Parts: sequence; C-alpha cells; structure tokens
Amino acid sequence: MIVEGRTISPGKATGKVLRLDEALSFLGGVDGATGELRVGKGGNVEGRILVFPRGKGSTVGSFVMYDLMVHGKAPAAVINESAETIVATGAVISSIPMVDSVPSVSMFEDGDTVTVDADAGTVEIEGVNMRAVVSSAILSEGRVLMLKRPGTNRSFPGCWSLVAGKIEEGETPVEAARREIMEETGINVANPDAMIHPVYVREGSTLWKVHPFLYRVGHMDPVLNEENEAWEWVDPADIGSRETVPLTAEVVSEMLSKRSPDGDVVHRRYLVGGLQLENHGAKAVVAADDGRPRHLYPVAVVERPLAPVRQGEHVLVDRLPRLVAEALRLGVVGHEDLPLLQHGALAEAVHSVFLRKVLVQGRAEHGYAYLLHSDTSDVPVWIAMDTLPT
Amino acid sequence: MDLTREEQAILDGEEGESRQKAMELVTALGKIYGAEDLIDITSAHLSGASYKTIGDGGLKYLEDMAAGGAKVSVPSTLNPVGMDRDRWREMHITPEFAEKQLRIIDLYGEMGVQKTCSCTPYTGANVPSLGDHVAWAESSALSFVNSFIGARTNREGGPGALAAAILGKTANYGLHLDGKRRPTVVIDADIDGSVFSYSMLGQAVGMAIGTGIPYFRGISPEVEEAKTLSAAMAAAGSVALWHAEGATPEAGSFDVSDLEVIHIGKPELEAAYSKLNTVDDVQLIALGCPHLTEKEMHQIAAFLKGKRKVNKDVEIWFCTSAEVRAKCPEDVKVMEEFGPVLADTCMVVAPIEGAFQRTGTNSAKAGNYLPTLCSQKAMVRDISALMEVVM
Repeated sequence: MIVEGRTISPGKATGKVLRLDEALSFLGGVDGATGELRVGKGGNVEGRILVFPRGKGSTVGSFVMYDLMVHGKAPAAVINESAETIVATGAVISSIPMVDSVPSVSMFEDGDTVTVDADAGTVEIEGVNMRAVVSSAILSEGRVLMLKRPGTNRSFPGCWSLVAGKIEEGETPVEAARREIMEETGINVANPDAMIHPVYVREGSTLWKVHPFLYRVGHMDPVLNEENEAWEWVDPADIGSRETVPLTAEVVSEMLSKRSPDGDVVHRRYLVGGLQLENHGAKAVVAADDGRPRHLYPVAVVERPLAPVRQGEHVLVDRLPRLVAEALRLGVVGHEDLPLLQHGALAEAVHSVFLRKVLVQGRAEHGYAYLLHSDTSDVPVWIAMDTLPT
Repeated sequence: MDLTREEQAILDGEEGESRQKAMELVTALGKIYGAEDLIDITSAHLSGASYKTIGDGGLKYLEDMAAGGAKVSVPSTLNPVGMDRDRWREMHITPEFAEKQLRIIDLYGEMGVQKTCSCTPYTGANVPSLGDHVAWAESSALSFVNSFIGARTNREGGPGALAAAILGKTANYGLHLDGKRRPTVVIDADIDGSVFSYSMLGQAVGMAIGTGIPYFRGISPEVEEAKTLSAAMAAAGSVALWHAEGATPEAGSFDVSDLEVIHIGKPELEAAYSKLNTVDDVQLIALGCPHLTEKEMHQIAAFLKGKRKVNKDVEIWFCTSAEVRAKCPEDVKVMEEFGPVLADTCMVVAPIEGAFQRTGTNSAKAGNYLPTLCSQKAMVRDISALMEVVM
C-alpha cells in the first residue's frame, strides 16, 4: 500500500524497516562511525528505512547523521510522523531521502520492505493492504461495552474489543459505526458524542485504519450476533489489563478526555461551508459548530494570488473526509451540495481537484482554509477550515 | 512553498550543487515551519563553530561544503569556538583539538564568513537595523537583535543559518511576520537593576513561561542588561523575542491590556537563584557569557584594580571577543593579574570538563549549560561575590 507523506529531503530508496516508537536523538542515540543504535531494541541503522515519530535533542545530531553518511553507515531513508529541524537538517545535508507526515509509525513493522519516494512524498509498504474499519466505544454509566471475539475469528481471535467492523463501499465511517453497533449489539445510536483521528494497527499483512467513535447511551444490555461470543461493561481503567485488540485502552482514554469535567461533550470545532469567487477575491461563507449550526457569516477574503497545492497533499486527504462528515452530521450541508465529493470517493476527488489556499483575514495562525475547485471548471465546490476563529 | 523562478532553478541544481543543497535545506525547514515563501536577508550569524560541539562529523561537513565552492552572499559572522585562537595552550587544550579547531575556523573563512568568533557581533562586526530581515543562530544574539534592535530572525540552527547565508535568503515564517511578533504575556518585573538581576530575571521568566514573547514593565535595560536578559531567557526557556515598555523599539506598537500578567519579584528571583546554584566552591570562575562588552571590561578592571588574587586554587577566565580585547589594553593588563582575558571562546563551548568539575559564573545562561554541556556543578553569583572567592 502507498502512504502519502510530505517531502523533507529528496531522493528514492528501498530497504527494510527499522522502527522506533519514541523520539530519537541522533546525538547519543546512534554511533556516527558504526551505525549502532544505542536506544530501543538496538540494531544497526545502515541501509535501513529508519522510522521514528520525530527527532529530539542536540543540534549536533545533524552532524551525527552526516558522520553516518561519511562512514557509509547512513540509513537508506528516514520516515517521521512530524519532522523537526535537527533530523530534517541532518537528512538534507547528508542527502538521505526523508518523508514526514505519515499518520503513525505503527503502520510499519520491523523488516517490512518499504520504498521511499521522497520526491513524490510517498512511502510504499510491500505486501501490506489497508482496510478501513470503525471501532465504537459505547459508554453507559461510566463503563465501556467490551465484546469478546471467538477463537476462530480471523482478526485478533479471542481478544476483547470495542464494537468494530469494516466500512463498506459507499458508507461514511459514521454510517458504518451506526450499522455495526446495530448489527453486533442491537443498540440504536444517533450521532457520536466524540471521535478522534484514525489510529493504525498492523496485523501481519493487513493494516487496519481504525476510525474510533464514542457514544453515550442509557442503561441497556446488548443482544449479540455471531460475531462475538461474550459482552461485559468494563471500567475504562481496567481495559488495559485485558487481552484486547491493540490500542483499545489508549483510544478510549483519548476519547473520554474530549469530554468536559461535567460530562458535556466537547465538540471539535470545524467550519465547513461554501465559497463564492469574485474575480480575484473570494468571500468565504461558513457555518460554525457553536451551538447554532445554521449560523452563517462571512469570514475570509483572499488577500493575494493563491498558489496551487500539489495533488494528494496529505493533510487534506486525511482531514477533509472528517470535516465533510461533520458537516453532513450537523446538517449544515446536504449531499446535494457536494457534486464531486461523494462519501468514499472523497479521497479520490481530493486527488483530482485543484487546491488553493486562503488566508483568513488576520487569523492565519488559527489554521488554513482550503478552497477546492474542480479541475474542469473554476467553480469552487468547497472550503473547509481546521479551527474556528474566535 | 511559493518559489520564484530563480529560486526553483537553484533548487533544480542550475546554480551548482552547493547552492542546490542550501536551497534544499532552507526550503525543507520552511516547509516544516509553514513558510509560504523565502525572504531576502541582509546578514547572517552562524553557530556550529566549536570543535567540541560539532566534532569530526561537523568538521567533515564544513570540509565538503568549502571544497564544493560554497560561499556566503551576505555579511556573515561566526560564533565562539572551543578555544582562544592564540592562547589555547593556557586553556588545557590538546594540540590535536587545536589543529581541528583552527581548521574549522579557516573553512568558514574560505566560505567568506568573518572569523569573528563571538556571540556579541552586534557590538560592531554585524549590526542590523530596525526591521532588517536576517538569519541569525546563537540564541542570545538572535534574541538581542530581535528585541533590542527590532531586526527580524527566527531561531536558526547552524547548518540552516549557513545555508541561508549562502543563498542570501531564508524561509519567511515566524518572527519575520508582523503578526508573530506580538507579545504573549506581560511581565511586571521588580528587580534592583544590576546586570546580575537581569540574569536572574531572565532565568525566572524562562522558568515561568518556557516559550512565548514576554512584554516587560519596570525595566530599563541598556546593551549589557539586554544581552544578559536575552541570554538567560533563551537558555532557561526558549524565548527568541521580548519587548520592554519604553526600552525596545517595537514595544510601543502593542496593546497588551488583554494579556496575562506575571509578577517577578524577590521570591521568583530567589527561586531562580536556587535552581542555578548547585555548589559552594569552585575551581574555575568564568565571566563573559555573553562576551564582555567594552563597558564591562572597564567595570571589571575598575573593580579589580589594586586588589590581589589570593586563592591559587581557582582559575579565572575573562571571555570576550578579539575585537573588544584589542580595544581595551589597559583593562586587559589589570585583569591579566587575575587570569587570562580570552578571546574567541567561552566556558560553554570550550572543553573544560577535562580540567574542571565546579565552575562559577555570573551568567544564568552559562549556569544552565555548564551542567548539561560541560558536566559541571555551577555557582551563579554576581561578579563581586564571585571575586570574593579568590581574594
């Protein structure tokens, strides 16, 4: 499968993954003369595709990377979740291809054969297929519903999990979650009370892209189907002590933290709306999730000529489907407003549209607004912003 | 990022490999920090000059850069190095270290960098003007020019600043932008106004806010106070820009009425002092972090004149720039009765850990770095208290 990232240092390389789960300081963490890794599980970085979340530590780390290159012990490429100065500098000056903005290091396993095309900003993991699934925490009276999979299950057999299942063709993640909950537990839910960014779990040659949701329900007992053999209401603090599908406890904990202390849901504040182009300027008309979903107000004016963004810019592919789902959920827009952006085809459409960037007047630091045009006409179809200007 | 046709051509290699690598680095960093384009700079100040810090990897990098024909295209100055170029034998430096350190300085020189070897280039060798966009590394110097002069720079790293110097451009983000220079917190300061009190103030503020752009009320810094404050806050926190009501050029343009106010007075200053002081006796006293200005040289010489160094077990180093040392021969003569007046270096980037374990200083910045970079226990007091140790 191919992961979209962002070019930090150009070049192409293929090799086997060496993955670290913690931030790495090259100074102290790697021997510049031999390539020996002094942290984590040890090993040697030479010729490996070195995957770690981000760099840290002394700026001398850049020169340790240069040292590795001089001694012929450099990694073939570097992959980060989020680049910072030291490692980016080291990669560039040492001509080590580097890509960042991959969603999670947990997409990779040691020994995976990976090709990094830093010029295109992509990473290909050989022999791995991604499947999108949902996983829902049903919360009632402070406890989470856990389901036990049969020992014959193909995926994580015998493990406890939340209410999980595959997203089917044409479904949004929210729709899939609702359907799975009804099928597996008989519980009818409305809109989710919380959701977070997708998390990634590897199981052999399958990479599960998991969309987590949280639903608060009243007191009730589930009615199981054949997919699970047992159920139990579990205190969130006890989840970690069971044998569960990976990351279950972490995901529940993060979603629970999105609730304010008195139990009210904290909505993520996305704006979505439409845009009218007027010659060289544009007014953005947006709807805000501030308790008044249909409130519309002008918010942005294009201040200067816009530059095209490269096709498939990672940030957009990941963010827009969630923003659009939120907008649909809020009832701010209807499906008829989205001629090009139909559900599962959204990612495809984002690849094919021509993206422009709009600065929110005086509030650029709160995030970017993206304007999408279809590439067959100049009529804009969408604008989405990451955070609400206050 | 939006690159001009020429910038894209450089990135594509049309102006040679060293400019291409420089452009790759500047654009990679710009991308990380969300820059939309590049901006022309009028000067650069480069860190990554001490052999102690950059090691053989850094030396090789500079060899390759110089061999590739890299040349800076704007006036560029250089940070302190691991030793005094002339008097390194007095600093417990080995000939092997000296040879490599001298080679590093020469390599920067080959690339057109002025071999100033000081963290206070703004006293003469490299003086930006209000509003100038520059690319400066060295956290105390860049904070000084941002704040006291009103020039504009981010916290550049060593190779990044060199790349910017080669191109005459840097990524246009952060402190190059009006909107990013606004204060984020108000500091009501209650200090006695001595230079040492600015050191403690900087330590306390760095500890209190970590990062951010403080707006001070109640201080009237001049150059010595401003450089001390800049250094302390950059080391105790990561402050790159500060404003002071009535004292810095940009302060008057901000309305700070809706900002949080933090009061720094006696309790906070004492807490800062306690954090830095981990030892009561020392083997080395090192002054000049940042490098001593002419005024400070006069003050120290005046303080020492007529006194005698009694304690033979403690060495004293006075650190300044070659430029200042040359301007103060009378002061130097007085100070040399107590210890060498060293140029080009400082107690942080020189390899003192081989010879000393306990070091005293009046600098909060040094007090932060001595334990981490030099394995020292530190004593941080004002100059007269330090000198009492030896007299």
